[in-house]
Amino acid sequence: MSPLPLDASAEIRRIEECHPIQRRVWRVQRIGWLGMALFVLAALLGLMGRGGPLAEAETTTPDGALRIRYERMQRLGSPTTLRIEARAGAVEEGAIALQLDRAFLRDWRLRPGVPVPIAAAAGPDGLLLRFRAAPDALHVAAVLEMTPERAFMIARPEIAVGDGPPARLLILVWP
Amino acid sequence: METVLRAIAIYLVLLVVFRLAGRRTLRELTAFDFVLLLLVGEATQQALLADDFSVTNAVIAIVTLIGLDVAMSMLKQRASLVERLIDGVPTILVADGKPLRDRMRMARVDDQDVLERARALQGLERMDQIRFAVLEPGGDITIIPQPEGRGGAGRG
Repeated sequence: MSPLPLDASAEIRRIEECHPIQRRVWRVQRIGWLGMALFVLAALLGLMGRGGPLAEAETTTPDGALRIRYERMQRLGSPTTLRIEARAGAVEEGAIALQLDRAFLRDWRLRPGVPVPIAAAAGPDGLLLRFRAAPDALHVAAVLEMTPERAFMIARPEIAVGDGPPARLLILVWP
Repeated sequence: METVLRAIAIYLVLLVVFRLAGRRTLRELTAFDFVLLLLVGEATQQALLADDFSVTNAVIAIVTLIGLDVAMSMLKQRASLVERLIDGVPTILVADGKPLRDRMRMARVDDQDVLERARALQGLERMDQIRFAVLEPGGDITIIPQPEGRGGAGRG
C-alpha cells in the first residue's frame, strides 16, 4: 500500500514508483555486506595468502626424501618462500641435486636464499639446483624465494631429488 | 597493458565496494571518513602502479581511470537502468509527517538525520511539519515542508 497522501504531486508519485528498484538495491547491498564479511574471513583464514592457517602447505616426495614447505596461496608479484628439506640419504657426492620442473622457470621468478646453490642449470626438464650438504648432517635444507609472474593460476609444479619420484605442489595465484 | 588492466580492475572493485557500502557511507565526510578515504587511496596506489613509478605509468593509470569515468557517465546517460543501479534512486523517507520506519532502517537514516536537514534547509523543528523527506541518490536528504496552515497546529 502506498504511504503517500492522496494529493501527492506527480513527481513524488514518480519517485515512489521507483521504490521497488531501491528495495532490490538494498537486498543486493545486504548480500554484498555478507560477501564482504566472508571475504575478510577468507583472508583471515589465509585463503588469500600471506599468513593464516590455510595459507601454507607441506608436501613430501613418495619416498620421503624431500619435505617441502611452501605458500599454497600466492599473489602476483609478491615473493614467497619455498623451504626444502632433504634427508641425508639423498646426498650424493656431498651435495643434493634438486630437479624443479619447467613451470618454476615459466611462471615464477626464482631467487636463491641461504644456503646458496653451488650450481644451477636449466635444461629441457626444468631447473637443476645443487646444494652442498654439511658433513654428517641429518638433513640438508634449501631455501628459495619464488615470486609468481602469472595470476589466476592453479599450478601443480614438481620438485624431485635427482631422478627420484617428485613431490607435487598445489599453488593458487591471486592477482 | 598491465597498468590499464590494473586500473580497470581497481575502478570496478571500488565501484562495487562503494556501491555496496551504500550512499550514506561517505555522504558527509567526518574527519575519520576522510582519513579512511586517504587509506583507501594509499592501499590502491600500490596495486595500481605496481613497481613502476615512471611518469608514463602514472599517465596511463590516470587517463584510464578518467576515461572509464567518462565512459560510465555516458553509459548512465544512455541507459537509465544502469544509472539507477549505479547511482540508486530517490527514496521517500517521510510522507505527510510520518516517518517510514522500515525504509529509514534500510537506508540507515534516523529521525535526527531527517530533522537536522529539515532545520538546515527549511527551518522546520518537528517531523509533522515535513510533508516529504527524500533521500536523494547522492546521499543528501531533501525536505518538502507541509503547505502553510498544515502540520504542527496540534503541537505548536
